Amino acid sequence: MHERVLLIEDEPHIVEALSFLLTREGLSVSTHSDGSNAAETAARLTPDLVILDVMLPGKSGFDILSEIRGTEGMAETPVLMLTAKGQSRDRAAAQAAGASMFMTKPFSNREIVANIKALLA
Amino acid sequence: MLSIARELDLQPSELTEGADASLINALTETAKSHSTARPEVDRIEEFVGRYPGWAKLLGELSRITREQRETLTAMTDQMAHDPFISETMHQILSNITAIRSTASILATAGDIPADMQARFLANLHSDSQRLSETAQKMVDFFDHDNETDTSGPATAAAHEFWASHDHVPPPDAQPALKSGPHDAPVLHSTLERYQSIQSALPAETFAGTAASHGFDPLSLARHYDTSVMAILFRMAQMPADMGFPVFGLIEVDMSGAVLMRKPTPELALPLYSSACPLWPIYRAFAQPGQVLRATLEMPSGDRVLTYALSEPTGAGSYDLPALLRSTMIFSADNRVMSQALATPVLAGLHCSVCPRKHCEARRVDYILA
Repeated sequence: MHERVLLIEDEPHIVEALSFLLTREGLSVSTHSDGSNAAETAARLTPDLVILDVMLPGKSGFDILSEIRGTEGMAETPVLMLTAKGQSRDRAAAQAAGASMFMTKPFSNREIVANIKALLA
Repeated sequence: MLSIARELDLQPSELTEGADASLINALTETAKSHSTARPEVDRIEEFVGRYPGWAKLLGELSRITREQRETLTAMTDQMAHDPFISETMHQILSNITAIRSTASILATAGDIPADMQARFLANLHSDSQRLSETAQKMVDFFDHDNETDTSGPATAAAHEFWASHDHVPPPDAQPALKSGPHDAPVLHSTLERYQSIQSALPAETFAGTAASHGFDPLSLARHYDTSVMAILFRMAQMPADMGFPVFGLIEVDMSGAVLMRKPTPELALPLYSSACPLWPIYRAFAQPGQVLRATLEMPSGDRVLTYALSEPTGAGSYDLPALLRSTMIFSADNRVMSQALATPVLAGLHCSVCPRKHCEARRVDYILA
């Protein structure tokens, strides 16, 4: 059975590229582009891994992550956070909110695939 | 003099009645901050006595270096917190990520279906076009936008001074006026106000009292029998090591020029003017003397609780409306946010970086639309 990944990202071309890439790696990819009800989508899909952008319309990735962590059965789900800001403040906030890993844009395809595989292992 | 000092078993500075004390102190501080060079700290007084000219030159160069470092820190802080630059950089990096990822797929994946290949090529084309437009808008911003903002030079020195002291200067801090007397009014008036508030409401006792009043400015003003404005500035200018909730601050005059600014990680502030017109700091001009409390929600979803108040700046003139200044403090600290109103004001930082399409306050297009 394919492992399921939920990609929460509002930049459509990043979504297309990552979806293509991860599907070819044998993963089943669902996408969501709006922050306001992202946690509900995660709760409904209960994916094996969440890729979560920090800056989303409607709600910040940190708030979404806190909601995901409070969702039954998702306290331990690996969450990889993506941001265009690499400041230590963002890293600390991601860690405090319970992120499993933090990556700064722009990242390479090889790097993100390797990190996703490591989180799913 | 050195020989005499040796004979008398005295330090050379003792013979000059401390005339070089400030220079010796300055060189000692410099030596401490550059310890890797292993300066002979115990021989500083001898150095000053033996080579007074060189010592003065070294002291002067150290002072210039320190000031330039402080200026650079302030400028870096301003760049990091400018809403336009922050939003534009975010967009540029997202664009680059999409281009890099898509180009990498096209370059390395050999068996891409023709329709996907065409789609990725179209994405590359539109992303590169957007990148180019965003870069051009950024160039325009630096070329033109700031030229029309004449309030900058007059308040730049004040912004630098407050930022360099983390908004809590020591009692003996003296502002350095670099651009002439026109720097002085804002800097001096804000510094005098701070010293007055610091004296009337010492931080050490204020911290505990504020906590027992739930960090409520009105309640604190009643408790201290003082103005709400004094409480707002006191709350935003507390020493960082006291565990007090972090409050940002912005003060503007009636033209919207920013007189004082203390951004926080949760809310960036404009350098000189042009924030979101929905911010309570501007609405406070319509109700002088009335404290406005509102929760602001940014397009990112971040929320801060704000208190805003406008007051006349002086006694005023007959038959003329009062000149006002408006101040807003804000915090995202949980201890403060517990007082936040359930219905937030959906605001932004600046129209050009705000994606709220149907905002009635919009005055310019969203730069990334």
